[in-house]
Amino acid sequence: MPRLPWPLRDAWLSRLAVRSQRGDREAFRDLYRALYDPVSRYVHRRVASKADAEDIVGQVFFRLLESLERIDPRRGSVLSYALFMARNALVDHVRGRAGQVPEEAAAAVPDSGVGPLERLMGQEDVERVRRELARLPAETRELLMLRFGDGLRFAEVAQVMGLSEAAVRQRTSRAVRELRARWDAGPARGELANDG
Amino acid sequence: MTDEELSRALRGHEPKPDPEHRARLEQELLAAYDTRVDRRVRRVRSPLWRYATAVVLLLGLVSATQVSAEYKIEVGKRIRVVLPAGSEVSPGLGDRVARAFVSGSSRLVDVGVMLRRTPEGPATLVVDVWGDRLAQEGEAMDRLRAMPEFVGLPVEVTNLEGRVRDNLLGLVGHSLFRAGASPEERELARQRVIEELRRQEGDGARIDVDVEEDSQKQRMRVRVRKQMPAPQSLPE
Repeated sequence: MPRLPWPLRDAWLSRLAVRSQRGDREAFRDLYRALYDPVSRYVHRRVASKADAEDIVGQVFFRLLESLERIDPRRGSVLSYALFMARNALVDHVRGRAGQVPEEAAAAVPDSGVGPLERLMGQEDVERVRRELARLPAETRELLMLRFGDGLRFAEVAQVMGLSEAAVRQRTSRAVRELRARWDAGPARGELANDG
Repeated sequence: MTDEELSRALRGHEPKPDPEHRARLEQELLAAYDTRVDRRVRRVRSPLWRYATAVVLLLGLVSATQVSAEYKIEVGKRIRVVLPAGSEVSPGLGDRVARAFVSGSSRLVDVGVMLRRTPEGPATLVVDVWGDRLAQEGEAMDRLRAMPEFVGLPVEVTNLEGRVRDNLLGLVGHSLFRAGASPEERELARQRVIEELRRQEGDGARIDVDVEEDSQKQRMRVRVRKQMPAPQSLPE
């Protein structure tokens, strides 16, 4: 997907979706290529197994194809719709497995592993942020994941989670405020370390 | 903790999308898309949908043909002449009137002559001439007017029309004579008109229906032949 300002990106995806609905094969291919990366990232951040993640990504796009006629760009962005389907596929995937709450899967904080994150933040800080996030309710965690992990706008987060945009703004603001407050409180470091 | 730091923490280590998976999924997805589009196109182009309108119209037409209808066919002329009161009628008047309409070019099929007489009042001569080309038969009318009994008298001419009861299919068949129908269609329509006229005129009538065609149009000629009454049967 070309790097475009979000209004242009949404308009471009909408046009591709409409053309795909009309039988334009090239448009559908471009739509797939544009959505593959964000959908793939969304799923891979929440599923540890690469094989499972690829399987879920495939399900998302086949579901997208099945519901292609129902996509109405006037009701929301196509990207949000795709991520909404990814979220549902993820929940369905987890439901088939015992011992994990589906909503927890959508809110799972990714394992940073060894990557550029460690070069920018100290490993200790990363672990601390992750522990703080783990203490939040699943819905708030997912909200923060969509907003800061997947980089969605408030309106898109609202569409994916089925909430109002105002509620998303309010909850995000409150959650970030709480996180920062804990972060700034010195004792939290040791407290969090004890939690781990 | 800034938003950027939070974003970095939440993004974690992003695995790069596998190009092989991406390409494989694209192929599978496009194949499914092609199948879906083909199925939709076939559904749109199915003969049932393509000809749905025509089928509905045809059903409507077939239904409409079952509605009873009635139409008229001009089969001759009725000539009425009012004779002055007290005028004498010669015994051979009926025969002479009938012969006035006989000529080589006419397609006369039957002539009925009837004299209606009322006591102390005028007599009315009614001549029913069955056949065609009577409108062009100016000579016959001239001969009639030239007869001594009718000189100077007004002659009233009206059409003799045969009513043909049929359904709309029959009416359509009748119009086929003028609609450039195929020979088979015209023959079918012709037979139906003959049957209807025979039903009206009785078994003793000889009915002929001919179709004439020229470069301009097609015309139907109807001839009904009946036994001509003997001259002596005329009322005096």
